[in-house]
Amino acid sequence: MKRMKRSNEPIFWSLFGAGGVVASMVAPALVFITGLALPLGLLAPEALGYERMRALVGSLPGALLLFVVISLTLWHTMHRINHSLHDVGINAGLAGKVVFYGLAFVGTVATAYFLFVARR
Amino acid sequence: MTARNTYVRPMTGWYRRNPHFVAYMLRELTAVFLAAYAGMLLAGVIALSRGPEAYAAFQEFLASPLSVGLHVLIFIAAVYNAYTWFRISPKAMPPIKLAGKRVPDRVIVVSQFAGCAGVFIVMLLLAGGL
Amino acid sequence: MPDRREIDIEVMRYNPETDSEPHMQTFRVPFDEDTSVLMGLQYIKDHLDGSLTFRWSCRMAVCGSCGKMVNGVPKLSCKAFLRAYYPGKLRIEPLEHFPIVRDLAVDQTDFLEKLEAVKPWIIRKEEKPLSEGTYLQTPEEMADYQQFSSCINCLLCYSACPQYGLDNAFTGPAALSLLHRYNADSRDEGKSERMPLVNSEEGVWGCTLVGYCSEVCPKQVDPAAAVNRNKVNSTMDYFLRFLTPRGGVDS
Repeated sequence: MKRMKRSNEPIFWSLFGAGGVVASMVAPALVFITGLALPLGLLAPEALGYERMRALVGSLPGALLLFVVISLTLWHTMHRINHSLHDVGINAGLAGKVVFYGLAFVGTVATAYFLFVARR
Repeated sequence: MTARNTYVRPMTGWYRRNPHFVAYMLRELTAVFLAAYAGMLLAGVIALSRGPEAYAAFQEFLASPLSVGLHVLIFIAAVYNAYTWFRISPKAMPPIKLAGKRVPDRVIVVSQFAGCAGVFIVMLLLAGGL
Repeated sequence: MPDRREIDIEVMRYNPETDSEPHMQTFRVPFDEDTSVLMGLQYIKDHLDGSLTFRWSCRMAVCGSCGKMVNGVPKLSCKAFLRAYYPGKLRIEPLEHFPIVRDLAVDQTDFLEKLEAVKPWIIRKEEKPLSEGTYLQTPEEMADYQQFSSCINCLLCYSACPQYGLDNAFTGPAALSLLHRYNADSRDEGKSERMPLVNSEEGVWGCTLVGYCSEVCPKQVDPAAAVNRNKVNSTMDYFLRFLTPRGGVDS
């Protein structure tokens, strides 16, 4: 039997899975609050106002929560989009991995950096 | 292999052939909307890091009809993604045993829906209250 | 006989000696409450066109030979009944994602090679002599793999799997279910021989959890669960190999 090459998919699949848990558990609530409830007046404008958000980001749990939600959602979605290309018959191969996981990586670094700046 | 003159059928448009595949592709499509939302949150963090004026502009964008329309789509995608994720997750985890008996898939699925509803209520209270 | 109706069965025909591609042919078949789709095909072969080619054997959902696409859904033709489709008609095609040999018969060679590759038998590091008796197992240990041992190799799950259709290097649902059936068996000691396949691109990582395989399985094997639990196993193996001296495969 031919020698099987070990796939590096476990790295991306575990990030995808962790992101899936985060996205499915908190995204519906978060999208509703930031994107719908606030603009439609169901919540007071101060609820997500500048002062309050600075306080949220200023607390370590708040900053970590935002970091985890943003970065893992990126890894989750980029993994799916990469596989969807294959599903519709586009075999991007390594290029697809570089582009989509690269985007997730850049997004993760950017989130960490701007959270750091916002905390100062 | 024998040199049989076999016929291999093409895969073109396979995702349109069966309602199950359509639902699968919609599930995968939610990723585009959730990625847009992650970008939105990142934009909010960037605005926050730049000071009150930048953040006010971000909030103004959130209140625009374009943003509300987009968030309606993102919300539908987020709910559908959560629904599919909870329903299929027992397949991707090792069997959970309680007192030697396997916890039925249904119990795992229902408790995740309950957990998600709990998160929804707690986050609404946290955002609105205080 | 009060219950004697007729239904149109559209069958895919392909003669490898004369045809460059398949075409459909319609037959009108009488049926009653008990007529299975397979019996409908047998009626065609016996009374209308003796050249119609298809596989079958046990007629009672045990042998796994008679799988066909019935109106686009993979089914055991002995377990599906014509009455369920009446007054509509049936469109019967060979199992998806396999090369057509003739009419409704497909080439199963690829699956048979994959089945052999997962080593679907109990592997012992050292065989116990007969004099020491049988390998014992508790009911709880048996419950860990029993559902996966129900597979009858009918290939419906492969026809339900677009990933196998898109790239048949993927080992696929049934073979991976049987791999898991032996890895999860307390009497087996061959996990380290099977993990390289699980861990490979051709192993569990070709799966995107479409989940249709588990829906069409006539024996409730739930191949999607077998495959995706092994994504967890493979992930553990991937990271734990840095921590364990033997490369993690036995963990």
